[in-house]
Amino acid sequence: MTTPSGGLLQLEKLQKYFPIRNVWKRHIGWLKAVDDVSLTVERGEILGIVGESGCGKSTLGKTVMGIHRPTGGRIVFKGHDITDLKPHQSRELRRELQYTYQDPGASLDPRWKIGKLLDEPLVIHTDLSSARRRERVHDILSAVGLPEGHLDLYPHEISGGQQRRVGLARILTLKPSLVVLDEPTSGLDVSVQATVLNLFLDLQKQFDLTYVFISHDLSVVRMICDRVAVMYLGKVVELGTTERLFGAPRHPYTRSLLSAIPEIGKQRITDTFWLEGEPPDPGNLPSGCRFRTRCPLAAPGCAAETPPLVEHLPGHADACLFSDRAVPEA
Amino acid sequence: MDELLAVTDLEVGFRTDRGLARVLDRVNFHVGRGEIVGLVGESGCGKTTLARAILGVLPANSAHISSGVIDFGGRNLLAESSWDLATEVRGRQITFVPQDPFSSFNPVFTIGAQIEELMKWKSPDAEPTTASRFYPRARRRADRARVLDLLRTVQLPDPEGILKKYPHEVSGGQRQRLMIAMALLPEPRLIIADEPTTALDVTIQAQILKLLKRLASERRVSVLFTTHDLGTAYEICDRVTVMYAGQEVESALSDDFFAAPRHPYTKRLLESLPSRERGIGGIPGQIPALIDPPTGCRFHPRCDRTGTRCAAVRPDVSEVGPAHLIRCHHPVEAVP
Repeated sequence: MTTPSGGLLQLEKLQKYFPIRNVWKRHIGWLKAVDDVSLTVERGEILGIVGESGCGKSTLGKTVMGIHRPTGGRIVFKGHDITDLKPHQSRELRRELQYTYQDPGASLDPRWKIGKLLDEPLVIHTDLSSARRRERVHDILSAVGLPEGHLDLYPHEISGGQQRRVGLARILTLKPSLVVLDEPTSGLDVSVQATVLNLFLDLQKQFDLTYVFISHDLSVVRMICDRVAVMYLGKVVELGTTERLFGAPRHPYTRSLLSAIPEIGKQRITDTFWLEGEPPDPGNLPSGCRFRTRCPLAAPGCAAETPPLVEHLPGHADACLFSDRAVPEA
Repeated sequence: MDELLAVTDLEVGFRTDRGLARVLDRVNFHVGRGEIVGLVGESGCGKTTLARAILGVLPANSAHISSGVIDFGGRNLLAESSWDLATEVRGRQITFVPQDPFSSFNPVFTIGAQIEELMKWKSPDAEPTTASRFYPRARRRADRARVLDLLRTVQLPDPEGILKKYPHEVSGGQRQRLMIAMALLPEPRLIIADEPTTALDVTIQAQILKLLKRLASERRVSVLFTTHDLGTAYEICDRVTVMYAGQEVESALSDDFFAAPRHPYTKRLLESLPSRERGIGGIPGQIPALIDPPTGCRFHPRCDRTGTRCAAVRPDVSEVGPAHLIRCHHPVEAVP
């Protein structure tokens, strides 16, 4: 589903397979973590990537970042193919393409003070004088809402929400254009989560950012994303605007996922939830549609071939043969 | 409702290098028979400490219970000997479902061996007082039938096969089903479930919540359900108690609670949940350090309804509606 006009980032049939080896290190199969994913990220949007654990959403983010080498497919960023660049070739581009780790507490060096942590990217990527660097660090620190005094603290001395702010400040000093946020709110309390989300939105306006927002928390995604891609076992099964996807989900997996979110004041999911079973082993996938083993709409045709991601409605694609049908009541 | 568990004025501190952290500040809390009570709060509010105090498994070298009563079915658990607690109450009348089912299994024994060990000591047929290494064959056979029956009830596929597996061979959702089964096997009166769905995906969470709710009502077991997620509490709880920084701030029946919270903290917490209509709320400031907690109401430095008394006087619990208790000087007005 690539558009020739080209967004900021384009993924074409991106694949990342991990080898499965037995005890004797003999290769016995592939774990298809990301399988033929094609996406376009438009400039200035927030694209959400949602799915349950093991669906490949983090692997997708890391493959885009070059942390994993893709098995196949192309990654095009700002018109340049960055799929197979050598590290020194990609340095200039990588500056504009940044990634925040899931757990900022673990990704910040515990022996470095915040000030030094924020200075490091500038040392690597720019040739600013130390006075100019200090200026940039101060600017960014106030942009993410941390007091000046924090420059002299160590990562363990600040709270989880503040660690996230530092993680964000660290990549924003380089003025990137695309930021991949990997589970940016997991492990935060709701009251803190809300302030961190507001920060993302403020920074987006201030620095003209594009986000790829990877999360398993659908209510957060609904809140801040413009478009959403739903992944199941390495495949994108539905892609559309947040409004349409949450308002009228089409793929049976998306429908089940949405019906599993508790919503205060609405009907209780303990009365209405219908999906049974658990995802199959990702190393041993069912043939055809990967959701067919749990799907209430499954028919014999589903096992024969993998349904492609097709735009059934303008701007809204899903990968299901029967997405027009209603799900039978449980 | 008929009380099963009543905690009165419980005060627990933890000795740390920087002084005594007052983690529970004269907490009152109760669970009725057959009731699912949600204990809700953000991290560090003391909900896990309260659950552990009821189980009697607070770390002995750092935790210090300075006052209070934990009344369980007419006996004060804090006054019982540790032998009586271990043989008669814990694991038998009160059981536990952990947050992380993986680290609660021993990785080097099969699931079957671990369940058998549990049944050897805690089966409803086992005499609590004559604990011996001997496991009579007749009882063992009866217990095994009971185990298989219950594994079918919690909807585990192929129960006999699962008993031969090791914990790493089953999925997270199945491990949590096993934990729920193990918590039900001794036929307890109270199950303490400490964030049992936090580590699970949403679709699995929905399945587990559904299962827990059904089993609790079928077997008339009370459940104390701690969670940081108000949505989860909404799904399964009959009554909700909210804690903040070591104090219980609001307690009400689920319907009243979610329709019209009266404590400012609870109201702000509900507004912090992401919602399309309302935008993002959030509460400024941070949870206070419990070594040196704010005087008076512990929420007053972050509260937008603070009056003069809030910093000076610790608010008492007052009843603002039927079974609706709050601890606040300036409660939110009732919705007419």
